[in-house]
Amino acid sequence: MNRWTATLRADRFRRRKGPSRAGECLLICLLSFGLLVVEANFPAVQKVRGIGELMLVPVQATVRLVSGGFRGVQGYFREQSSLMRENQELRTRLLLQDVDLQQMSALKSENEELRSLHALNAQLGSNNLTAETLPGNPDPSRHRVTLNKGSRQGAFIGQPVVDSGGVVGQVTRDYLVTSEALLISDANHALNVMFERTGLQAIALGTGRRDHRLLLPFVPAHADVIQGDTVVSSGTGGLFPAGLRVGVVEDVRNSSGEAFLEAFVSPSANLENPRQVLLLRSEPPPPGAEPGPVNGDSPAAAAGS
Amino acid sequence: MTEGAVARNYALVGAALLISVVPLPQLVGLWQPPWLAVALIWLVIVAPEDARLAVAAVAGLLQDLLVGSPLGLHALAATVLVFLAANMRHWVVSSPPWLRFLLAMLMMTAYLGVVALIGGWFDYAGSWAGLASSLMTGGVLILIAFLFVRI
Repeated sequence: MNRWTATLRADRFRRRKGPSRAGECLLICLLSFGLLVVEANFPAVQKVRGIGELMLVPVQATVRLVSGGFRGVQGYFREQSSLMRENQELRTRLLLQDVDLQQMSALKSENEELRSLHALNAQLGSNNLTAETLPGNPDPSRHRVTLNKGSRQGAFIGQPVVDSGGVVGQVTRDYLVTSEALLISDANHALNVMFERTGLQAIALGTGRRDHRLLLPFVPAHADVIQGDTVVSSGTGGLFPAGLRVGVVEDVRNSSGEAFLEAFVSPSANLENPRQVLLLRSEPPPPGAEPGPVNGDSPAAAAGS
Repeated sequence: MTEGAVARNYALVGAALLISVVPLPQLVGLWQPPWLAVALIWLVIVAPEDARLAVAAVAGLLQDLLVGSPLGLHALAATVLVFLAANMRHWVVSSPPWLRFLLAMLMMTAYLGVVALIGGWFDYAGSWAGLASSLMTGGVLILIAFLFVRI
């Protein structure tokens, strides 16, 4: 109540003094307007203005300093945030480029493999069948792969499978549009081979080991076999043509008192992850042909597990 | 009213003058409220004894010097504003909040109108968009002030 009374009194007082206030206002307005007119028409007044502005220089400088400092701090954080955003964008781009690079690398490797395969195809005869492996192995304990070519395309049981490195294995099951190949490293596979340097013949047995090594047992103890010898298919089994690269001797063992050596061969073909392979176009064996007990070049011996 | 309170009120006007010369990006600058007008309206409402026409004129003159507008332009606008505010004060304090806000907006419009019209005669015309945005942000500022302080 008191506040309202005071307000009204003050306002009444102000209203009573209204005319003088109006006069004061009119006077100031006229002076201001006059100042405007004078400044606009008499350039000499600019000097007066200059003096006034000179007096305000410290104020302006202080304001600029404070606002500059504030802007500096703001700019610092903005720059930080902008750098972080940029960093994030660059990381994402790098990741995408890494993926692209990996794809490029895979494509390059695939291209090289296809070129080698093409060269091999030309070397072995042009009527061979190219195939690709399909992902997945239903039985990891066995070394085998599924191929995307079946009997409809001309795949048959016992057909040699090679890649640009050498012998991969042979077809053991032929379905209509796919087939299954047993790798030479499978424990049930045997292959007639010979040492390229000496011509000594042997049998390469799959060991079923994860490193895909092959075992050459019963090599005569006096035979000239050394580490690094190249082993190729001998062609005596009838399925694999002679001279296909099988692998390189990695280790030669001779137990004292034994009449035979054991040679371990590292396969030349990519048995770890074969992709493009060549199915050699040879004639299917006549039905009912019985292979010898260790003649791995026969489909029955290889598939008989 | 104590001397401290008087000093504080004038310091508020001084702060408004300083804020109005802070360099801002163009987009933000367009939305800058008429700080001096807001401060003067505030002064008239809360401390009518301190809201003298001469004070408004001097503050306006200082603003002219600080912002580089023709000498007397803001002095004229500020004087008109304080005169209007002082004469409308009894309506402002006895009105409901919405009318109070409208009256304050009317005062601010008068201030900006004087600056725009008289400034236009003396080749100091701002854009209408800038005028409107200043009025809007000034209104928001007034609204906040009325919300938080008892008159």
